[in-house]
Amino acid sequence: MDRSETQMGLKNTTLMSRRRAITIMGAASGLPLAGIATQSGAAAANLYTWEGAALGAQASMTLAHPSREGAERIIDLAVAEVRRLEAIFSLHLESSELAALNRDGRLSRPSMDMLTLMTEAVRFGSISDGAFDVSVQPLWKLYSAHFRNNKGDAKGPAQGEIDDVVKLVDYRRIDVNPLFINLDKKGMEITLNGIAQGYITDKVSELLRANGITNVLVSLGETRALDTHPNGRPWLVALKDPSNPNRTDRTIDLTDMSVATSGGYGTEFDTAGRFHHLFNPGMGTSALQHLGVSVITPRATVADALSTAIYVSPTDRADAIARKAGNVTALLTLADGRERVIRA
Amino acid sequence: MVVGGIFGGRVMPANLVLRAMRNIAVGLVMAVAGTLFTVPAAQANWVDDVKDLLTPEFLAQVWPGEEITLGEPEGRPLAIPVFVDGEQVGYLISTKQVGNYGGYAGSPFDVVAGFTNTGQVTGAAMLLSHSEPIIGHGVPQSRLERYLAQLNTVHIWNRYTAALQPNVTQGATISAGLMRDAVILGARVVIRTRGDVYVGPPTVDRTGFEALAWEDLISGGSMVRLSLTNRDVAEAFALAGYNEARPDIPLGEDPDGTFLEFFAALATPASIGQNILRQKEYENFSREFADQMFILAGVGEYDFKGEAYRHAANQKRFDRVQIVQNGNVIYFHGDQYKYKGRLETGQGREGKVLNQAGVFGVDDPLFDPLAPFMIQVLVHGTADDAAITIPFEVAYQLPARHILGLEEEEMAMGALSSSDARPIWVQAWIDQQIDVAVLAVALIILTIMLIKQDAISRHRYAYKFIRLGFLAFTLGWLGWYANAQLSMINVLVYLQAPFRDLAWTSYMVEPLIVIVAGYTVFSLFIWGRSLFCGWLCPFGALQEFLARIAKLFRIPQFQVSRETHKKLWPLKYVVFAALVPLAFFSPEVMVGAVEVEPFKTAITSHFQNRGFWFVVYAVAVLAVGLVMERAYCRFLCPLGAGLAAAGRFNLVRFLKRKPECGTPEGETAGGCHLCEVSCEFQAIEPSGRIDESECFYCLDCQVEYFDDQRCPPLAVERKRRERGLPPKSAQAPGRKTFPGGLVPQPAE
Repeated sequence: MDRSETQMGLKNTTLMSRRRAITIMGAASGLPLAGIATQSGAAAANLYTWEGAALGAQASMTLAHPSREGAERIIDLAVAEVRRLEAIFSLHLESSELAALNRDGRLSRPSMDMLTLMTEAVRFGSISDGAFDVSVQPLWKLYSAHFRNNKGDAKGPAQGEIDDVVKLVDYRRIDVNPLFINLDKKGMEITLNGIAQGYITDKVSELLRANGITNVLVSLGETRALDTHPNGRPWLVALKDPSNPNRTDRTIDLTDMSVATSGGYGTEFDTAGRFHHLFNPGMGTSALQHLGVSVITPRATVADALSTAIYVSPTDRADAIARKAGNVTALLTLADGRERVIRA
Repeated sequence: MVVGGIFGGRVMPANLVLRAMRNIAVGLVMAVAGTLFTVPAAQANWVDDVKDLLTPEFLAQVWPGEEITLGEPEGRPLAIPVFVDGEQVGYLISTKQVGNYGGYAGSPFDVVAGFTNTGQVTGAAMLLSHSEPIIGHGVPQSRLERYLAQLNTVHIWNRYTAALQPNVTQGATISAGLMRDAVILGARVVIRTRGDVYVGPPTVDRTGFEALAWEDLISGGSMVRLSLTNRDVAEAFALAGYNEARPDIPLGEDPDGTFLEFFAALATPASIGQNILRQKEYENFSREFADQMFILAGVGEYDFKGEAYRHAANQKRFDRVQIVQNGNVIYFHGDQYKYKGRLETGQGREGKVLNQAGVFGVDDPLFDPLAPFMIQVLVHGTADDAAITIPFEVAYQLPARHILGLEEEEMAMGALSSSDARPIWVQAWIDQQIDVAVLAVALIILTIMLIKQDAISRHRYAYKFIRLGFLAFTLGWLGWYANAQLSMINVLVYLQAPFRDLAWTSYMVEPLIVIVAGYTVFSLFIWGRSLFCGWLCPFGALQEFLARIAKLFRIPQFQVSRETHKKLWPLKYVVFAALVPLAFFSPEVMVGAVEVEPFKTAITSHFQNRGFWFVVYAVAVLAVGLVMERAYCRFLCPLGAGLAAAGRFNLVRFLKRKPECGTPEGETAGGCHLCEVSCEFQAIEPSGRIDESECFYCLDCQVEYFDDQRCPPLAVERKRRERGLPPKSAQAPGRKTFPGGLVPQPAE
């Protein structure tokens, strides 16, 4: 039996962290994924890989397709979609709608994507009673500036500074409607990093589905399974062990479901891990009650936002948030290593 | 080691392990027999031989970092349990062994890999024996070793990890890929069959095997039985409701004789299929009927298979047996049928021989093997020269022991309804379904109240109670709780909608606003703008409550002259007219300009967390309202102006008037001015006409209208009635009775 591997700029990379890795594996309808051995061992399809960067992270897409032209076309489409959305949601691209919103405090005539995602963001704010808050960007700025400028000061920013910035964090002060998005307070800033990856995952999934690519596992920061594995089984997705992010500790089956994981381990400001990017919006400090939270639900946007919301909420609030959101399974790893499963 | 393994959560009896090992031994012998000239003889006894090769140094490669001890090799595919501190934590497998199991045996290497019970590969290395010189194959051994060393990053369930494409091993790519696949596939099978984890939606257990005798299958519900005597069939035909109904096949003489003894089972689960069929048969059939398969068997006078399935004219369907599930008929087909010959229901003398047996594949997407269904045996006959069919049926529900994932905690993930990735606006409506229902009920009550306005206006105090009650709802629930304050922003958003290429769904994400807006548009045609302003505007309600309180505390009320009123009310239209173009040409400016509405401060933000001047403005507006009721609504509110402009076209006027109301046309004084004075909003002109654009539909004028203590014409009628005089209106209909004019004080 023969197995051919066609490569488009394919390079071997070391195992990337799943949160940062952007991977799409899919197959045209009816074709099994290359590299997946069936019982008979007969399956073979060409494997095409693209590597690049998206939303500031390394990204790759892998796709099995009978023809090189077909694969290139679809990868081009998917990359173009990622680029298009990146140009809207990026914090760092000066021309992005988000950057304009943060600069001016208002944005008139938001695009459909910006409008939809901001509406979702505010909705998750209210579902989670403010645990998920896209207006935490000033906090992130405060912390990153603090740790950049005071490398030795491990205590974090002064309480006074935090208190001043926390006043700017309130999703209810964001007006979203088709005419404009308005930040009600001077100095407010938005980050969509807690939800845009999920949204992009959803949009690329829809695009692939519209182009006849079924049975896909799309992993653009968050993971969404379209349909089943080409073999008919559910997709199997391994979750990182939150206490040792270099290993995986459990697998879940996904069929037409998305999973998102939040953990502070990705972006510690300090070596002790007491300060990271997931803030409790009300207190202005990094949330430490969980090591990791994974949320499984149909849409990646929802999974992305809820995993953050539950991560920064007190553990006893998690049930209520999951119940409000509905159709959610959440896997929580508490700070002491205990695990909880919530279904709602 | 523990004798026996864990089998789908149940302890597997030791004899089954032995049976499995026997199977492997047989398989090994056969494999060796076929490849004797290429494989050294030492491989034949891998189980024994391999132990000598698993040196501590080697084990450190495949299971680094922990002190492990090995159990006895066991199971199918063969795996060696790994123990750490006496606890079984994982397995070692050999690609040679799982490769044989998995179907490829071409790789010349034997790779041993370790993995944990949860599926994390711990390491992999080539097992080198003196009898297998690897150099001879011309493959760069070091590259292969480097590749294998990376396998410890693999999680066996995590196949989408693109990091481990074996293209580092130039010259041995295919071998490397096969090894990786053998490790992953073998490890999966080992975990699926022996591990205590199955994570996923419920599915038919095709691997977990448990020895069950025929009686066990029957008593556990794995197999069902249908026994029909000749009498049963004759009675069924007799009761079918036809004259002279009889089966096409003549029934036997003996009424107690067996017409058909029928057995049916879903054969897909290993613990059913492999207990009825021989293992090899089960595996062959499983491959052939990839979806689901049944075993149907019978004995008796009736051949349940019939002949129809042989003929294309019948679409090769079996016409004497079928499945019914959820109202769908699932047919068995001749193309998916394998003759099985005979089956015995038990050992020795107790066993009954079933001489008609077959294996039937089912790949109908409508069929759900986990859900209950009926298996029907059909007996065809004639009645009144027409064909009839009598079904005999037996219910089947696959027992839970054959379903993987049902008892597992993680199963609930499968219970999540899939494919309902709802769009956000649908989600919003579902989220707020209770609020939507409350609002809908409130609007229905409001509509009924206004239809019955004459009836409730007759009762001054009841009416006051009803109105204040509804306004309390509007302010407290609709405004402060649900934040469903319709504002200029909504109007402008809707106005510019035709010129934007946003999906209509963008306008649906706030259910309560959509409903209030929709109801308001509807009401414009019937009641004009006044319905929203007077009943559904939370800020309006707030002003009205404050005015009531002001009057309670006897704060002097101030009323502008009619001339000033006429100069002031157009102001709100100016504000409206200024805002509309901003929506189209400069939304940035509009964001600030709509702050002329104090709604956000007073209603949606509860006066909190807003800039100082916004609060000052809102308080100032409300303060003016304390001395002049609804001053904001009357003179400034652009939303009210917009609605009033649109409400010009309302079709009907419900507010009742009398001929006596107001100064008659062509005169400069006279007529009744009771309502005019009682209207706080100066919406009633001296002529008696109600200016609907300025009206808030508070119904105060209607309360006066029906009050026979206060409305002069009614009071006159009442007094005449009390004196026993005939109604004056009978004498002089339509005559104005108050030529001198009459201006009473408004009622409290």
